[in-house]
Amino acid sequence: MVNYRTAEYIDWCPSCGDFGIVSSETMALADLGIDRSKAVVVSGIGCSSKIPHYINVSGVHTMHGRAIPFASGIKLVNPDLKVIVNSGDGDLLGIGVGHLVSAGRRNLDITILLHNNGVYGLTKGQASPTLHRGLQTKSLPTKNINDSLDPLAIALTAGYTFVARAYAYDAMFTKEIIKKAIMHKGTSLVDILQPCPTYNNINTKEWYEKRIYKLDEDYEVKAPEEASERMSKALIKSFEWGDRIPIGIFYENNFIPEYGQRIAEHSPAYFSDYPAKQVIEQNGKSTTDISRLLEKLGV
Amino acid sequence: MNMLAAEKASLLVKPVFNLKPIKKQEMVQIDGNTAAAIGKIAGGIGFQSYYPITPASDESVYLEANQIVDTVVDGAKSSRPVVVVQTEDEISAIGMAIGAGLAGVRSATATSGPGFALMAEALSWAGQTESPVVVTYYVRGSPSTGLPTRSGQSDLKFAANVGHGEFPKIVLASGDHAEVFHDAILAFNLAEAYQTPVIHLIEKSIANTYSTLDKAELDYSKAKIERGALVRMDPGKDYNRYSLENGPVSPRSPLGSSVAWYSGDEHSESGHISENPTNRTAMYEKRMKKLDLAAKEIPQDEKLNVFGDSGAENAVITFGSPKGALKDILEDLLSEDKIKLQVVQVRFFSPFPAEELAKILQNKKRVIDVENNYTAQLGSFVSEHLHITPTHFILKWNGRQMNTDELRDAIKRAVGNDEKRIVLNSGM
Repeated sequence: MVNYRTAEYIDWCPSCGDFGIVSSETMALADLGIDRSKAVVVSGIGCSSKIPHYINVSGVHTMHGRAIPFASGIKLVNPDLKVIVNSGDGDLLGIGVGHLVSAGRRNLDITILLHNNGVYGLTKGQASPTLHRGLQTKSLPTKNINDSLDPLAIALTAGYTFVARAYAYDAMFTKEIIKKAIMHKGTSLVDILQPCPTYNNINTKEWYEKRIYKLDEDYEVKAPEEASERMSKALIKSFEWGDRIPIGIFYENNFIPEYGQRIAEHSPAYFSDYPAKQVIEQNGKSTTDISRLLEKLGV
Repeated sequence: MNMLAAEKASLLVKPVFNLKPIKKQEMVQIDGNTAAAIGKIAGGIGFQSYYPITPASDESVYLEANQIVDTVVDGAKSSRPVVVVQTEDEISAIGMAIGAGLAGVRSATATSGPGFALMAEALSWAGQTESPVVVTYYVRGSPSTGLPTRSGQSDLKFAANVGHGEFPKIVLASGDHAEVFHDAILAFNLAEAYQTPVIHLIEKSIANTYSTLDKAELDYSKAKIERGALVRMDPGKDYNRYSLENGPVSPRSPLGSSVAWYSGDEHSESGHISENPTNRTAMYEKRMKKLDLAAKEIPQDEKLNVFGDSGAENAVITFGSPKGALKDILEDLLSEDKIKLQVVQVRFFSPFPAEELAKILQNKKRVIDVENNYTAQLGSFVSEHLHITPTHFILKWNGRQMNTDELRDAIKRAVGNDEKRIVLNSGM
């Protein structure tokens, strides 16, 4: 029996939503039987981004907002790896929002788990890009002056081919969503709502649990021509936020080629001989032959 | 009409200069961007990421156009795909390149000043996590947008000091097209040997100009591909990525072959976050000692390129593109102007070859510093590390390369008239 949890001391606050996410994620890895050395969890900076240290697969704890580029580099040179990004709402929708949007254009086969609690917990509670305008969580000197970003709407319009929302305290449901996200061939985003018991005294466990409800299973694009209609419906659904908040899978489209497949169109050997597999030296000598390139430059 | 003119001209020129036809198959015409790209290919590149910027993009576009490269493995001819990605910005470019390096692939990015500025934080991360990555830094006229299609050498200190905090980085600058090619291979070796970022400086004036080179100058059959302490641990077996057991360079197993952790936080031998003061002291020292090791192991003839008269009382120190003009004027300076010179082209700035340089400069009457910037940045490296201050400065920052006439004249003025600071301004 593989243990997907490390023995590292966890310094999250008691009842932090991150506990639910680390449980769901490790259960998902266990259910899928993923080889520990073939999975990499990549994070940014923040409370949530400490998660690689608590998951017993390879972990890369990067810079604020930059988990997606690092994860992309790893996946691009070794498509056999399962690469999962765990990052906060400040990471992915604030400082790193450009990467979040651009990832949709590539549709690389990585999974992005967004820890969404509306605040910058590690720096003591400033408003994050997902906190709604007019709210004043307990560290804010004044009401939040900015409108909020909707991660699902951004993902849908940016080109993500799997878009879902989960709730951190419903660990079994979140686990099932994460499993589907990992198995999806393409970029998947799971927006995971989580209370921050220390700094977000508005969007609490009680607040969420009165509102959330589960979507039905009708989310998959069945034919390319119905993609835009499906996406429009998912987009409208993503705007539902108030007395009722939907969780579940909003959209999945398996007709868009994944980035590796796009590479293989011009480099057919990519999946069988990707860069991490290549033999670039033998006995200290380069195995690469540049003579054809030099011939072209001959004068 | 043009062909006719060329033929007529060649008939007139031939008897004067006794020109012989060059052997076609042995010469190549190559620019700096292409030399860097082909050098990277020869050096085993597997991944390049970039965001478009002048004058760096041509290198990446060349790689993109030639991403399936020829190989000979176990005597059999084959090919392998290199992955080249155009990213959304330079932060993404460096992040992807570092990620690819963690997976055991020789990876690089190419940029220029404004893009390099955006890469500073990630280079600090790579230094802290002991991750190899190569940044090919095409230096144009700065600051800010500056002279984006012109040249300069004013980013030297920025490159050498990039990133917050203290961490080992290797910074080298090429002086001509052949050097660019060989340095692109060397950069990968150094990045993997010392598990740290390597910044390879190439001026715009080298990037976008051509040299006609004998193919032998691009021979890399003797070049070694050294991957340092890259190992493949047994799958599933954990290991301490930052083991303190075997000196400053600890074994590194690619992501995908065994489980390991990387963090920009200070970390223990296992790679997990640690704020323990004793560990902090030891881990910090482990990283910094790699630079001492590099200083000891990199051969002197890689660090410095010394030419001219070793007995001369005048030394010229320079780096990068003035090399060509200096080589061309040495003979005239000696035979016509009776000035003997020893020229030292500095190629490494981190580790800085202080001892080697001191041996050459300590007994010189004049040390003339030749650079394409305002503040004589190489000169201040020399002052800082050697406690020898250049006596004369020949400087130019108008975005144009130094030419032989103005440089020869300036050296005559420095030696003959003792002019301390001479500013050059030729060029259209």
